[in-house]
Amino acid sequence: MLLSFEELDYSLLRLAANIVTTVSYCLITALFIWFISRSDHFLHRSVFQLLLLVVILSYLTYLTGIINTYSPLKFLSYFITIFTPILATVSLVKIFNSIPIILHGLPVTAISPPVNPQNTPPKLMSEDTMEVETLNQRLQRQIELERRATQISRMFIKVSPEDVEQKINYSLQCIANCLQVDRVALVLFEDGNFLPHSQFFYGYESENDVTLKQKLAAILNDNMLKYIPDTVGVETVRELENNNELKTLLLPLVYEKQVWGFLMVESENPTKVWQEEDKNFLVLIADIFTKGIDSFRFQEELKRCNLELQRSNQELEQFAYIASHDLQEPLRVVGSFCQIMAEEYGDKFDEEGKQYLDFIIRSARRMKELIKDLLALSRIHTRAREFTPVDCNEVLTEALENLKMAIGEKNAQIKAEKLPTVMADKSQLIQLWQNLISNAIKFNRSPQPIVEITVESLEEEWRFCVADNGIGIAPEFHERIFIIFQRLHSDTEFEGTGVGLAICRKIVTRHGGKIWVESEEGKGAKFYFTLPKKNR
Amino acid sequence: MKLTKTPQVLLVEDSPADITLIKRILRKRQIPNELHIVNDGVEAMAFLRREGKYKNAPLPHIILLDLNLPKKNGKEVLKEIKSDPHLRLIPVIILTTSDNDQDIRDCYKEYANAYLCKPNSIESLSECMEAIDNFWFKFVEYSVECS
Repeated sequence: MLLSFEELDYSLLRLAANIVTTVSYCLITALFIWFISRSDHFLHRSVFQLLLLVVILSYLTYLTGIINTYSPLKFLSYFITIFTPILATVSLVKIFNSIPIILHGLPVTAISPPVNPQNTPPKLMSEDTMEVETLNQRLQRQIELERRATQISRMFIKVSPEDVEQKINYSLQCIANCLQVDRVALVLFEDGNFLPHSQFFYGYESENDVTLKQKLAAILNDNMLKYIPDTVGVETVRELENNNELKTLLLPLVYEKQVWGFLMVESENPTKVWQEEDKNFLVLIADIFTKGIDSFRFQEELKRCNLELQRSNQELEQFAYIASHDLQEPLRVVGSFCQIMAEEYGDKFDEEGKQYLDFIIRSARRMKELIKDLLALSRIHTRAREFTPVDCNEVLTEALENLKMAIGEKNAQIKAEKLPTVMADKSQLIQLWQNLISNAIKFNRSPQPIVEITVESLEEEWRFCVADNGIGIAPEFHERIFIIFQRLHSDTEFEGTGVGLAICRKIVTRHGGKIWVESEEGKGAKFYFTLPKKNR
Repeated sequence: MKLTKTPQVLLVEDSPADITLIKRILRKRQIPNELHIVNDGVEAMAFLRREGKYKNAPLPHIILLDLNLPKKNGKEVLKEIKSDPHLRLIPVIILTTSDNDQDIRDCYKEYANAYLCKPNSIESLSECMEAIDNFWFKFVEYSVECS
């Protein structure tokens, strides 16, 4: 075959070009083969394989070009001309389809941190894409578990007796869903011993009851829980595999060095593998449970004490009321018949007999007064009324009206400044003023008792003062005078039962204030009491 | 019309001392009356229904009823009287030591005609009995069949 110079020149050039291209393609093919061998990813591999074919076909095109330069091989030319475009199109479609996966898959795996740095050292995505995928899934799961734990923890911030069971049951269900287990049990002990106090179950059917009971008994008998760790962590979670049917995780609830109960999850799947994050989750939930239950028990205890206190207080009030009421009945008879005896048979007694009869009558009368005052004291609560706005000036006027006789007898002078309006039980406030003023006049030996009533406005309360020029009280008795039946003087010196100031203190306390005295013997007394400006 | 006969009074009271006191006051004050005494609630109902030994008992013009009674207490007796179409015409005066608000309210709810607290002193009790006599036997009008 003869070729002209120009033809020869051109064909040499084409030959050289074809040889360079073919060698390059060969190298590219080798590289692709290396890539494919290193990649685990099915998708990536298939794409590389297609590209490899395209490359091979393309360089075959050039190879035939080289061969054609000398002896044309028509058959090979046709074959390559038909298959190259087909494979090129298929590859294009394949690559196009895998764009979203490549775009989304690569950046996430590239930046994803290792799930647990201690246990799984990070591996480069390029080294092991599958590993990164798994880590990614575990990370997602951990986020989900933490989200659920937060949700449960929020539920247990405030627990009331009405919803505590519901909340626990819901949490158990949550645990079962999160950990993909079939059964969850929470057993709480009574204080300080290992007797189950309350038990909560999720996923246990009645047919499992016997096995469950056996299992619980085994856990309790086996001293499995009696070892109290210093801190509750993943290491306190125990894996149990007593029979091959169930996989169990057991975790004691520990609070303040005491085992409160335990949390148990069970899976029917024999191939179930417990992950680190499963255990972490359980530890978190156990912590939420113990703290929630502790605050719940504390609240309950507080409530119970309060109720108990209220009840005993009420009982006491009731007792005082009933006792004083029933005491009056026989006393009335004693008094009445002594009186009849004195009237009808008085002349049959000698002087001594008359005196004895007089003692009985006096004592009965005195006891009647004591009972009357005791009743008055108990009525501060049994006959309490709602607080309303009360004008203290009005109250004082009424109290003075009630004391008109005593004031007149003693020629007492009462001075009062303008008083405020307070929230109070009006009749009790009248009684308070009346008792204080009557004391101020009674315990007074000056020719003209002077009682001065003043008020001072403090930040949150009014401070009232009833000052007198009476006999005064020595400082050592300042507390005692407010105690019921405590008296500093004999009945012949000053009449009275010793209940008046006890009543005053009870009234002031009920109104949210305080009462005290400032005095020295022989220098008059100043009785102070406060009433809040705002209603409680 | 006004009472023309001697007032028949039924006193339901368990305390012998109180019975003696009331008897004495009625005698001292010369209040005309025929006093019938029963000591508990069951007896009171037997008297009013003329059962057993009370077969020939008269129907009282007025009932003085204590609340604190053995067997059947005053409130139960009151309720039975006031739900009996025949007996409910008789005025019932509660005479008791209790000044408890609840007791007072309960009795008026059951149609008590008056509620009196037994006064503590013999003088007051005496005044109280006189007031009953004055009001119920001198001023109050009775229906024809009672008078």
